[in-house]
Amino acid sequence: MKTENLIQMIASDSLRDLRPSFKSHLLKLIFIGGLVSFTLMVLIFNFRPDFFQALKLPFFWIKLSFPLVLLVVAFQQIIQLAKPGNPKLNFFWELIVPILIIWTLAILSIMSPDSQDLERLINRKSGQACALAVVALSLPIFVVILWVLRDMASTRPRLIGFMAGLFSGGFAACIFSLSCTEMSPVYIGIWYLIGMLIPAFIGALVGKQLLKW
Amino acid sequence: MQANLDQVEDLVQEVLLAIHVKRHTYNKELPISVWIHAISKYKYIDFLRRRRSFVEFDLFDDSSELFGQSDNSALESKRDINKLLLSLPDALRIPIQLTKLDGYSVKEASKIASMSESAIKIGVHRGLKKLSSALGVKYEN
Repeated sequence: MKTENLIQMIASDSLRDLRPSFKSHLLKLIFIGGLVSFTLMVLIFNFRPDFFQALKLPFFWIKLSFPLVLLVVAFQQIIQLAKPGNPKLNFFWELIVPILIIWTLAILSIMSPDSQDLERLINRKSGQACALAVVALSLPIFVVILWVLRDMASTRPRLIGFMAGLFSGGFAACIFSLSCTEMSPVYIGIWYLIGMLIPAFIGALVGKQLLKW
Repeated sequence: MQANLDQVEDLVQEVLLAIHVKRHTYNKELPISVWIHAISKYKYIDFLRRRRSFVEFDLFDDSSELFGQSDNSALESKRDINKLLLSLPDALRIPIQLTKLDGYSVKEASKIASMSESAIKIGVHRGLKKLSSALGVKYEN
């Protein structure tokens, strides 16, 4: 086809665009996906039995805020990367610092005199189940974000796929932390992190194919 | 050469189509040329990957005529510059406008704007720095 013809065709197309704004649309669908994950958590794992007492424990909130921080960073990246031409936003330190903080807390707790033995803190068996639960709960949110992003035009499909995965992993970890009774920073720094990174890497893998345009 | 021209036309059409189909992804806070450039670059890289030809021609080479030849590129960049300038406070915008766009000397500019010469110089420096960070490029002076 001649370029002139193409231009005429494009010019005669309707210019009306009834799409809602990207950010509000994304937030709306994340809310729905999050609701599905939350319901799944309640149905499958239920809240931890001592939920209301746990609200008073500092480590309950540390466990909740660690994935929350990563989720916020990932969300900013998604917004920034979804449209072509937006300036780059740094994310390296924003992701590294929370991880370093949780690892520092973990080392401090291992070195403290009344520490339990390391084997018990790591608690491999429960930990693997926990990471898996986070991955599973991240799926509804992950799918929803990819769905919205397919309509956008990211020039970095792999990176935005990673961020979409990290966001859904972070969201799922927040939800799961309402159910999981483990609160040691050693445990959070290993299993929660793994649970969030798995969807992130899946996102980077599928992003290249699913998010290209 | 004919084959190349056909490829270029294909690429141009792909970019035009992408601009049209993805027009809802234009961020109104950014100059339109930045958005179009990002789309063109993405499509160009995609095109090179498919063809597996990495050296044959480099459209985004600085010496490239591709963007230079556009009839209204001067108009577009003027529009974008004005839009960017409006984002600056007066103390930074006026010095840039007078010395960089209207072509006055620092001395003349300081008279027109009734600002000191050093305020003009600082304004230009800070303003350009701010503009380049808004565009995501590093400002070197």
